[in-house]
Amino acid sequence: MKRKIFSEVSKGVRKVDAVALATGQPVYTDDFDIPGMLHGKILRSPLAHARIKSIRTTKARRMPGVEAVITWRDVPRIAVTTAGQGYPEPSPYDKFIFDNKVRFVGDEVALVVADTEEAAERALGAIEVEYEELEPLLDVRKALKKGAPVVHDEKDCRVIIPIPYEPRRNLVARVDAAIGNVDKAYKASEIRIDREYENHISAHSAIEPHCSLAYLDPNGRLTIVSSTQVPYHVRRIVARAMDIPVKRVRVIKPRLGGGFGSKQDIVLEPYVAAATLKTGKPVKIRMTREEVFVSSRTRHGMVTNIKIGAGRDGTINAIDLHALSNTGAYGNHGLTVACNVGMRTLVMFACSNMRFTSDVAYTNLPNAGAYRGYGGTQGILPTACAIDELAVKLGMDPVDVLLKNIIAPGAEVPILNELGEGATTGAPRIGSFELAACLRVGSREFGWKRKLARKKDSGRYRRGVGMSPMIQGSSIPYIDMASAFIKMNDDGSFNLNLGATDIGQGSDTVLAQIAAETLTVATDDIIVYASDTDLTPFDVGAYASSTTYLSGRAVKKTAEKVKELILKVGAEMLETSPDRVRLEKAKVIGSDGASVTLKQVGTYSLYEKHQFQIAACESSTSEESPPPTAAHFVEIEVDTLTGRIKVLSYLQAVECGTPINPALCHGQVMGAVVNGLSYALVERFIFNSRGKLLNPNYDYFKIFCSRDRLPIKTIFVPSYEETGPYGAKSVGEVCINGPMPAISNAIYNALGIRMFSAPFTPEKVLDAIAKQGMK
Amino acid sequence: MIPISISINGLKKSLEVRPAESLLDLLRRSGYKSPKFGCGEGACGACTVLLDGRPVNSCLVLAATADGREVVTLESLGDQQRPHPIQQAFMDAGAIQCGFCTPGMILAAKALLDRKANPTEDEIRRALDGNLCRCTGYEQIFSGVKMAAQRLRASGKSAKKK
Amino acid sequence: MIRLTSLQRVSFPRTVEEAGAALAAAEGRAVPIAGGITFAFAPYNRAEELVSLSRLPLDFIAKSGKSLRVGAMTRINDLLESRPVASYADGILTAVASRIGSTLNRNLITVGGNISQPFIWCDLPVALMALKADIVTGGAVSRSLSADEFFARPPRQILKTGELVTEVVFPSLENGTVARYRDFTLTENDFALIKVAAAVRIVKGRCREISLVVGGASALPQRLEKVEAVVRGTKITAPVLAKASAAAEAEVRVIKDIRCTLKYKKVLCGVLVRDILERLSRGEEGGR
Repeated sequence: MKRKIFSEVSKGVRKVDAVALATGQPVYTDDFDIPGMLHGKILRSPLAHARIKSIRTTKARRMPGVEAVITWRDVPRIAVTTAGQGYPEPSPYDKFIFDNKVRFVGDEVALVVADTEEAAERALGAIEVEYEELEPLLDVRKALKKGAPVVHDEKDCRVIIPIPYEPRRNLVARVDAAIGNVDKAYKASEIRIDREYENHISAHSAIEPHCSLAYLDPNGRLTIVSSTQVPYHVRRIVARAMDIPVKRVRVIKPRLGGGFGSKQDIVLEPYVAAATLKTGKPVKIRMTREEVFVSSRTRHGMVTNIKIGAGRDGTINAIDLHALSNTGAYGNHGLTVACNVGMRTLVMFACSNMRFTSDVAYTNLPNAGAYRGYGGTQGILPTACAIDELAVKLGMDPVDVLLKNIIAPGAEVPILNELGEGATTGAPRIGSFELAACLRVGSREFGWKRKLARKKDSGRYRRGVGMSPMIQGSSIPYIDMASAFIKMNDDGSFNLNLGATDIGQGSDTVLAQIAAETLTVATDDIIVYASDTDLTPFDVGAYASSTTYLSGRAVKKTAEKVKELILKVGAEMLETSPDRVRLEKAKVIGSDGASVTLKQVGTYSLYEKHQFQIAACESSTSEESPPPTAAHFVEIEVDTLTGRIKVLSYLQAVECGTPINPALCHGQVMGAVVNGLSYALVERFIFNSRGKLLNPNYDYFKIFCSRDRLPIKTIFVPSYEETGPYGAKSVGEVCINGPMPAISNAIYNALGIRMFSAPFTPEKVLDAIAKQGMK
Repeated sequence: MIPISISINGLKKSLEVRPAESLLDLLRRSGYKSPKFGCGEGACGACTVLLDGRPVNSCLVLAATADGREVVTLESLGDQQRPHPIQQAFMDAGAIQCGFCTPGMILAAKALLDRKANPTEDEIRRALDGNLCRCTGYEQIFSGVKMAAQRLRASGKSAKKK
Repeated sequence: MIRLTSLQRVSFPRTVEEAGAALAAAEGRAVPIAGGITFAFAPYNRAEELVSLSRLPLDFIAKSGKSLRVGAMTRINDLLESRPVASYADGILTAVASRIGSTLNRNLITVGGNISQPFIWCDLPVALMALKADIVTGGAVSRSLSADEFFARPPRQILKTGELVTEVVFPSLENGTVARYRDFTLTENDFALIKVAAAVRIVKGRCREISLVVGGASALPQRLEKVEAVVRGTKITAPVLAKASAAAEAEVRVIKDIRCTLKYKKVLCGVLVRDILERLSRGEEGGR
């Protein structure tokens, strides 16, 4: 294990935006008002599946304050995907900004633009729509069967890369990845596990609702300020949807109040763009909380089937995982989330017979998209639970079963070749991978073995323990790209212009630390400006846990280039050659001890001699996606009369390479695991029989508050990733995956009942007790 | 429009409000952007302000009924040059990720520390129970409040003084 | 969100009579506003005028011998932090107050509002019935109603136009009476699926008097009279608890709640009743 001494990296440096946020500065999209700004409100479908026979907007147009009413007739019919992904997107082009068909309750029908929000809302009520109601498809299990309603029967939806897509049978994507001979190895196994699990649809619930603002700059260029995770993808896709050149569009991301994947889609931007292009005026649209629940994005619900074949000694011979994924009314992120189900599970195992298949289907339900965990969350449930079931059958500790079967650091992982996110990953070797250490440390610190061996409770309150391994990735190999631009100022400070999007996770800070480390200055000497498509170089955006790892690599590369230039100038000032000087503690030092400060170098380079701007712009892609890993352990207590689960203690052992900023790292894994616990225990979408969401509010859709006691302990297990900036991997997503399988396993440990679908609400648990009886 | 007299952050103002306008909307259009719109139904706390010293959901208060009352927003607490000790503690404790819940959290914490100089963890949890956070899992926010309480006690100042 | 589309003005009367007169004169075009939370849940109100009760002298908590008077404009947070309230009936009202909304909500919600605009999830009505409190009104009509009378029908049907709740009087309880409140929620900050309040008087180990009320099951709180009959006169032993639990499950009327099945609510009612009676029989401290 490498021991590195850093000066800026690995310090809990204060966030660069902390003081702005702590003092309530107006830095979020909704905080910006432009004189003459109009407000937009979207009319949304009350039906899950219908054709629009007619829309009459005359009354609405005439209402006081209304400046425009836009429907499908007023915009060119251009198919796009709203998925914030690199081009060419591996998601179908199946979305029309306004269409003459609606595909879920909450789908966009028309847009009113007025001088106040109230005026716009009143005018919504005056739009007369005649619908021809169609049979809705609300059950993903029926989606691919003969006779199912066809969600996308239009002729012009298509995929733009050669991937399976059969909208006539509601098939959005298909994944088929295998190594070895799974069927043979499974049949030949002494112990066989065969189970079906289910993950439910849920909401990101970022506290800031989606908000976008568009205006024409003085030269008539469309400028969009938006609460987005993907400004560059917004620019490209809005340009496409509006049929204007990319060069006529600028996108700026200000501060975001959370995203978690819900803002990794192009949600409101085309609507403000259309409104501004039509009226010539600034237009802002902000979603209500109800709209965020219904009409932004959700997690993909999935039905998963897992088969594991093993020998009596615990060696796993075969793993066969299938996922039926419900992508809702539109196919954005359908294929890629499904691929990750296999990628974040099978990759863990040193098994030579593995298969992952998936069918992704349309339904007339809200639009599923990217959500922290991105398929890893859905995949780990059947996987970790099947391992647990296998362990029980073998009379073994599941931690030991895992230790016996997971890959070692540096291992070759052939299934990676088959599982790329729509492209082949060519480097099937994992670098750092300390899952074994997480399992051992976590097990020990939690007192796992002792608790596992404990005699079962038999009264009303029964305790149980469960665990789960998990992995994620760090960016998408070959596909993601990040870049950075650094220039030097006269006082020895630097501007760092980043495409990378800080959505609250603190990437501006982490990337500044990396630059500071390389340039041997304090983080405070790095001035960060990010996420403006005119002024910052390209970055795919905040997703796939790419920011620390990939954007970090780009920053380090750029800083190293700048360092070269500094040494060149410093050497010139010291009248020696560049190979005889070094950069240390903000000074260029010659071999004879003479030195110049960075301030002197900056001033000299800009004003004194052979002047030029010390600057560089570098990019990074990656051939790998080094996985952060974790092991979670939970102890619960079940009230067998009400079904309520109480979390008695929870431990997460996490490794993510060098934590560039330990405080922010801790914040990420805490936020992720609490979100995962909330998803496992209390979050639920309740639909009626016609596909309408009945609980689009915080009163009936619950997330945890400060009074919910979740005693969580976090341990960072040391690791070091050679390909990462200063040894770092990313860490934003991985820990959201643990709670659901860990709790399912703990319920089994407590009651002898396996629960195959969450949320594990009290009624659901009590129901399982009633139906299956406790052991 | 209904005329009201209201004190905002110590400044007396005469304002014209729309009859059905919320205090949140009034504050935001009057230039006070720190209280946020998060849900509009009193569940998330992003709109928290102090109304006659009490932390409330400003999205639930009709602006017209705030006539004659005192409103305090985060803007009054400190600024970038001299942040209030509670703001400083939040920064130092890593209690701020996306920052959207932060104004509400800080005001709820201030209302607590105004009354209890040495709150227990239970009291902290209760004081913040109307402020939802999706980023932090709350733990570092509790640390921030404890740190603020400790520092205020050590400096002999109450949270009331700037 | 608040959507009072017809609202034109807000008035601030200084006396209950003034308020009552203003409401009566407006003939339904004006509604009273206390904390105002109601408008978040019944948003499309057509009222042209709001009569604010915020300047009425109804914000008080007063001990009167062993009974307790609470003014209608008392904020729930004040109830929660009040010492006289904490020392009344084992602090059951403190316990109830702690379950209402969040700290932010509780600084707006008033006692009067929580009982005269009773949404299915409201907590105070349940406790008022269990404690057999009286509700005093003023304005266009002045009278005193028992909690059972007040909650027999939706209070908006019972109150006349211009009649306002002015205070609640909690009676002094006989010696040996202990009171408890319990609810069942998904998270700590949640509308309860169901809630139960009970006051029992135990003399020489035997239950002499019992008042048991469930809320959150149907539109109004329900007195579980059959369960009361099962328990009254007995020593509250395990068999009695089992019988009471089954009786509660059978007696409670439940209406549709999107969050759970009717059956589950009934089961919960049985468990909560069992738990609350068990606690009361042990005579433990604390209202919950």
